[in-house]
Amino acid sequence: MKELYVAVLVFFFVMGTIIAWLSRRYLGKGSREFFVGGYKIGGFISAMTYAATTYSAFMMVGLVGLTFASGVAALGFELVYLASTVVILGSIGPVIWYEARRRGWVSSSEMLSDLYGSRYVGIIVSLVYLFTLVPYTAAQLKGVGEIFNSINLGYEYGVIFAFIAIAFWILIAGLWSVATTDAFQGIWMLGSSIAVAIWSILFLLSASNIDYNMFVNILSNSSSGNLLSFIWSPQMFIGLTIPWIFFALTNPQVVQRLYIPKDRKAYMKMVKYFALYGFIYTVICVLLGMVFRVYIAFNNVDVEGILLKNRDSVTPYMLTLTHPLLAAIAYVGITAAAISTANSIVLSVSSSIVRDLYERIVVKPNEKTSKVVSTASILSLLILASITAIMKVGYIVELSVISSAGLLPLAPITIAAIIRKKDMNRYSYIYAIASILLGEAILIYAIAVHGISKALTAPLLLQLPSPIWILLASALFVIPITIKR
Amino acid sequence: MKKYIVISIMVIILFYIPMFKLFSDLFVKAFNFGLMLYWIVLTLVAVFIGIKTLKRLIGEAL
Repeated sequence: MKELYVAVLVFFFVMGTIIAWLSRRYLGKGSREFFVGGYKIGGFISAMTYAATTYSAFMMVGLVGLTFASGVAALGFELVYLASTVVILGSIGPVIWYEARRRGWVSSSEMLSDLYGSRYVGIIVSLVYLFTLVPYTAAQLKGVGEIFNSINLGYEYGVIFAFIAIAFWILIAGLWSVATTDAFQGIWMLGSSIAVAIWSILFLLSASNIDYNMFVNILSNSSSGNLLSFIWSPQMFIGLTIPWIFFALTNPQVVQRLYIPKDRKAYMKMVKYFALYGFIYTVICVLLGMVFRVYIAFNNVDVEGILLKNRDSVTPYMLTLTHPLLAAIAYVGITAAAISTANSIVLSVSSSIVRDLYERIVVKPNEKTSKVVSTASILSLLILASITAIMKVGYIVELSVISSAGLLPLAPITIAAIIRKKDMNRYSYIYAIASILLGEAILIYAIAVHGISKALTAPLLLQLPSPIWILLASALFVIPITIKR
Repeated sequence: MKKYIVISIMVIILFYIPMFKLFSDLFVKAFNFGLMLYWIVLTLVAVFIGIKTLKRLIGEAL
């Protein structure tokens, strides 16, 4: 197994590097080329990079485990994200795409500072990205480390491999190499998950002679309750879904993806293909969780108890039952999901540092120095995330989960800015900054009251979880911005 | 345009209906995979509206 995984991983890395290298021919000069590919990316590549960036290792590990433990509610959680994202991509997205090329936006913090006419907005937003997305990146690196660890390759080597792949694939040609390798990785992620799903149905279920009636019966009468019904608490469902509904507007790595399609047709293709990809991938991951729960409940009740206590080990355990080659391909698929998410985050946070922290503070920024700052910020972010992952700093995973809530205050100010882009009040930026600070203050309060692991899902006030209050409080301050004078 | 946005918001709100036990039990009673089907249909409706809005916006307004 170890040798097979290494062989498949080497093949994956070599292929990715060849693709990244070939994409160099498209790279022009300047930070606009490096960070957003000069707004010249085709529809298919745009869609695949959007999908591979959005869908991290959480899908094949976290979502499969979540479905295994708590049933069909996990599907609702993931599909409400997909549905709201497509709605945002269809309504607000085209405006962002159009304005990005008209106004020359590169980073998403630059979009906000430009729309609010204040560099302070850009600086604060960049800092929010830094604090929220470094743990998220570290969690992706930790995921690769855990995969290496589970096949006795050493946790640290996994983190180092991810570091090298991410740094290499970003620095070769910026967005061009990231987007093209994302497309390759996205195809691998989807292909490997489909292969595992087919295997689970053809081999796991039929080997145990589990038919449709038995399948339904086991899920309906599981030790966790009726897994075909809704068994989450409303607070958990609201707390986890609210930040994800606005993910497409708050996370810089996906906002930046809205800038890149080369024309209207490419943008349209991006949305259509992403919707298709997201739908198939989500259904497959949920199906895997359900099929494996039925199989385990039927064959091995002792293991069921162990897996329920540690749901992130559901997929690794499931893969021990497959053919080693399929397991190796699936493990590399999970590695790809982690790398494709992390490299986009690093590239996008680095673009914020260059455009909103360096180029706005320095009086006369030149292209050469900007390039040096880009490389330095990419490597610094990666080193920071790698150290956090290697030191196994407590709460990395929890911090990465609440990063979505940390970015939530950016949703109301983004929507308000897009609505009022033509005639923004000169003091609007003060409301925007207040909106961000209040939202973050509520999140910090929720963490202080409930701890990091329960900050999103425990009721904060009136039985409602913190994300609702973060959203409402942040929205309160943008009301003056949206009202017409 | 506004009509589509209102419908989209309604569809997203409908995702939360199964939080009420009465409704989730109703879906599952009607069909074992009723709740799954409900969310899948809502997603497809949202995707349809999203693409329709996009076509209109990208074709006319921009």
